[in-house]
Amino acid sequence: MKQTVAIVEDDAEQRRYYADALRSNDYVVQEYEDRQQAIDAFEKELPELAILDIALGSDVGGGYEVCRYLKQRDASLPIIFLTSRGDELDKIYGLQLGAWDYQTKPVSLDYLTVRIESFFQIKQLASDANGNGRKSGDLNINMKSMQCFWKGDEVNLTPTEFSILAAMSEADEAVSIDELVKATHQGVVEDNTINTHVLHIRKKFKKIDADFQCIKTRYGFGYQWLCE
Amino acid sequence: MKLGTRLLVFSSVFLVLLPWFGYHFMGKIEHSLLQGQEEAQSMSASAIAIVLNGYTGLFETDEHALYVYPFKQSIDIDGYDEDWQQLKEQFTSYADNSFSLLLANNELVDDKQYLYVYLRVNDKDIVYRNPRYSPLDSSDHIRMEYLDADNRRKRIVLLTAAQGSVSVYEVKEDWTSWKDGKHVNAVYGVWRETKEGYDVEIRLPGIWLEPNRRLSISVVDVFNENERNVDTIVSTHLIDKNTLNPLLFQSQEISSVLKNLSESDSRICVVDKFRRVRAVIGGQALQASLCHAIDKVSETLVDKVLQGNAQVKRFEEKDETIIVAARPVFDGDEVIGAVLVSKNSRQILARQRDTLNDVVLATLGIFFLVFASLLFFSSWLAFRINRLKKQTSSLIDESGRFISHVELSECDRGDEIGELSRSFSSLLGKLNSYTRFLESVPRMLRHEILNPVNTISMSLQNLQKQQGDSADIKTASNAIKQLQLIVSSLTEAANIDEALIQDEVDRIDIAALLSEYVKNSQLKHARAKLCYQGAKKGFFVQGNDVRIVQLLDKLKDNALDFSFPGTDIYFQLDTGQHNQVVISVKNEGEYIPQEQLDILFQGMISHRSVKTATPHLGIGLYVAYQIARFHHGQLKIANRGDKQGVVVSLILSSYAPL
Repeated sequence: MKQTVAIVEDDAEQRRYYADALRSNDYVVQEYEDRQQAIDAFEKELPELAILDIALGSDVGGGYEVCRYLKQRDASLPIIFLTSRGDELDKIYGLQLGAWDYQTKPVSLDYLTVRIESFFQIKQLASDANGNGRKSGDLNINMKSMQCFWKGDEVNLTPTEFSILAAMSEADEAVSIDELVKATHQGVVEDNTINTHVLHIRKKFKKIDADFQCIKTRYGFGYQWLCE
Repeated sequence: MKLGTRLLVFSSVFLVLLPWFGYHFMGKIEHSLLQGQEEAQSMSASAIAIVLNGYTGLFETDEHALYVYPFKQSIDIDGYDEDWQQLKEQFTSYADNSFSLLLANNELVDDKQYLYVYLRVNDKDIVYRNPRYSPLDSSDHIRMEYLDADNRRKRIVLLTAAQGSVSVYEVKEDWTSWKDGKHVNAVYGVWRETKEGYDVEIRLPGIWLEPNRRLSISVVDVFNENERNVDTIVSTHLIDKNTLNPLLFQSQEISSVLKNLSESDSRICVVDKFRRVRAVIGGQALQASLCHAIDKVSETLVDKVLQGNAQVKRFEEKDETIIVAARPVFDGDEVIGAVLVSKNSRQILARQRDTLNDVVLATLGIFFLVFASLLFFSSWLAFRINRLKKQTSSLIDESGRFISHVELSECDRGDEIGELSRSFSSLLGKLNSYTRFLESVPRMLRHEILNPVNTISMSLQNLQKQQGDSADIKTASNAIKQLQLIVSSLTEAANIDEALIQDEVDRIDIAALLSEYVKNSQLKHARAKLCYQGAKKGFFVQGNDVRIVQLLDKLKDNALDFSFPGTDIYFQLDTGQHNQVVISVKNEGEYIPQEQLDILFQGMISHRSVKTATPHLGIGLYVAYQIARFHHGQLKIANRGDKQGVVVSLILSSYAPL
């Protein structure tokens, strides 16, 4: 059965590109221009995944409102923010609202479809978490379901954080910032954005394991996964 | 000069004028007081003159009368003129100064016991008496002739054989032979030689002269020691030998008339037309000897009055002012004398001085009060202005951004400072909205640019899918990346402050960080050589390692951009003064003028003569500067002293555990 993906984006051109890319990957795509239009439609039927822009024309925080609405209706509904607002605060706010991923424009269409695909796979494989995993010591990574476990507990990472962690843990030596940037599949990423992601990753691991010390900063170069 | 001080100086200058005006006013008052006194004295002088008009007989005196000066002290008969000092000017001279004469009686003795005579004779060749010559006129001698109580003429001769007491004889009409052959003991005289001749001081009984009061004195000069003939006789009765000179005493009658008119603090003096003092009343308070005898001052004044003109004059003497009002005494149209009323203005001046003192004290008091209140007021104003200044400057940070918007405390005041405060407030409000607008520009710009960039990017992705990799698509993709770089560095700079606030700080080994950083960076930049000089570990600072790396990246990028190809870039770690850590990044490259260096940390300023592959907005050093500031450190840039190039130094405080 084809999955339904809703796109809420005020810019018609961009909306069309997203829709075309998703349709060509066999998704049913619903396109909405503003908050009201989207919510009216969602009243009747909820999509299986929603892609939201934050600023919808003059409705500056419209995307957040739509996200909040959807999360009220169905807390498990996956939401991806695609936005030009790349500030740390915006990102944190978006993720706090329960968004699954937050990507800044410009967007790689291929990566977007891969993300969406991987999400639906996660859903499918949720019951079989350890099935396709790569294990190195206490770390257990499932590349297909984009799930990560540390000493048996799941670490709730965003897809971008997951990509960075995967890149780090795969390598035997230090990974440069540039390589990590590539791993995020984002167009232009400042060094500091990677630093922030790593900071979040560390925090999330420390929540589970206060003594977590596996990610080592290699000043002037990048990061290194130290644990087995 | 501070506002308060300026206000004080200005007002002080005007305040100083107050006592000055007071002083001038006092001067005017003094003037009018003295004028009033002058008028009062003139009136009383006129009144006395009118009274005396009725006593014309009192002024009928002979021009040749011998004036007898009243004396207040006793006189020793010794031939010296010390006792006569105060009358020195009053000598009357006869026959071309061949002798001069002074007569006096003692005022203090009621019965006028004696008449004193002082004779000063010019005679270069004194001929003393020689007993071999019996005639009494065979030596230089003095002759005196008077009328006794029975109207008979009496003649006495005074002569001497040497200096000292004179011999006195009563003589016959021929002046040469004794009358009784006896000395006259009642008359006593002393003869003393002087440079010019000789002085004779004589005392004779006053009673002899009563009541006719007529006396003539002659000086007889004898010529030649051997011949002893009378050479010249100079006499006081110049015109008529038979008329003896009348003696003129001060008038008891005038005195008794004036006594009733006199005041304790003024002196009344009456003179006849020959300027001889006829009466002096009062004047205990007067120090000056005005009109006591006719002195020089009174003389000129009296001269004018005797011509018929009323006079008022002020004399400054020592510390006091004496006002003299003089009026002529008339007999018909003829002036027969003058009345002088003198009064000391000491009392008036004392009163005026007291008032002046009061004025000065009051002015000083007012001055002090005004000064104190001005001081208070100006300090208060200065305080308010200062507070306003502090408040205003506390609202804005060093780079001119708003920290907070607080209502300024002076806004509710109704005065000019309140108004100033209100306009500051509204100005700051406008500035605040403008700053906010400016701050929102990068974000807005990013939003507005990234949307079309996203569209273009996606179009390119589709094109790439359809047509495969082409050079055009690659170029377009690169251009898109550059656009993104510009936008992201703009946003980075705009958000750096806010982002820094959220960062956590920790204890960092800056030496370890730096040595590792340089080693790792070398891997990224194969073309350049990065060198580290300094300790490998053991230098601790308080900070955020990720941010310090971000800062180092900016400095490194800057050094790489500016260095000549093939030259080394040095990272150096030193300890500075006051427990500081200094990280210097040196490169060899172009010289940059100091004035350009000074502004390099401000955003959007770049000094680049070389074109580089990546766009430069001059934001790197601005971000580095903000990070240094966040770490309470300093970032300095200067041209190198040793080689051509630039050194950028980051100075941080060492971490000191509590």
